[in-house]
Amino acid sequence: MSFFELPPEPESEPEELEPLQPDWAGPASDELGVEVPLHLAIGENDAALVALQSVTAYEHGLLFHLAARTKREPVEPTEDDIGPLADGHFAYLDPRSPRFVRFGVLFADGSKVTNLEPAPEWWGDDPPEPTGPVLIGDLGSGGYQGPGINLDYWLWPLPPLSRVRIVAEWPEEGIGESSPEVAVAPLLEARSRATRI
Amino acid sequence: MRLRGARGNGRRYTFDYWAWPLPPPGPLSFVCEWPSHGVPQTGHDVDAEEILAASRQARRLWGEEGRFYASGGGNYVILGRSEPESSTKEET
Repeated sequence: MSFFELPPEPESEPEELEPLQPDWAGPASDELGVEVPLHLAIGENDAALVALQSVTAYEHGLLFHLAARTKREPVEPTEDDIGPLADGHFAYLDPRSPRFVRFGVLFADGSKVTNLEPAPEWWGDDPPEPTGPVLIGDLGSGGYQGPGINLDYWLWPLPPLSRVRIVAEWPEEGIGESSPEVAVAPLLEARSRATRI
Repeated sequence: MRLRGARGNGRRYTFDYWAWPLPPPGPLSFVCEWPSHGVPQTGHDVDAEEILAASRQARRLWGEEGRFYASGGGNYVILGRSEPESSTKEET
């Protein structure tokens, strides 16, 4: 036996699993949604456009893929445009800024949800479910590299009635409030083809 | 082929790739492999005509002379890649 006895391996801390994201908070990580192309110009003028490119349908909600394009040269946001810091790397544009691409969903029963309202947050296991619909931006989309802005928004729950209105406005670019209708049935049909992994 | 964006939360990742030029008509193979997760090289063929047909529906917004710009960062602004200032200060 060697004079020097090596100390035992330190007991590793039990790995703490991250709580699973609740159904209302975003697309499930174990689900492959089905994308429905729409190619719908929500609002446009001769120098800018906001379009709903497609919607990806999941069991519990819909992920809207928006595109915003402008012909103007980019201008750096000023302090007045920027809202509270998110994490030191990202800042949210202040929703009151005219640069903010406003987006919302109007349901057939008159209720609505928009990206001007702060999205509910969650933490821990079994967080409380929101009482109304939520529209949550996918942080990581919406950066300004590349040609144009692509924004993804998660809508929960699924629309209960046959049609919804998609509403957008981009004041800085002179795009006023526009609200084309979108049929829900093709989205629900796509949802039926979403696969759990 | 160029990575245009990637995001995820540890359990779910989304990648966007730009590929140029458009594929020629005929079968087009998509191939993937994810060694760290035990996904072997796997490929599937699609008919390139589906992609070419979608490409013909793409809309040029401002003519050939037009250029696309992002304006002011969308709804998020990337501030920089350096660490937040607070993490470099000693706590008192």
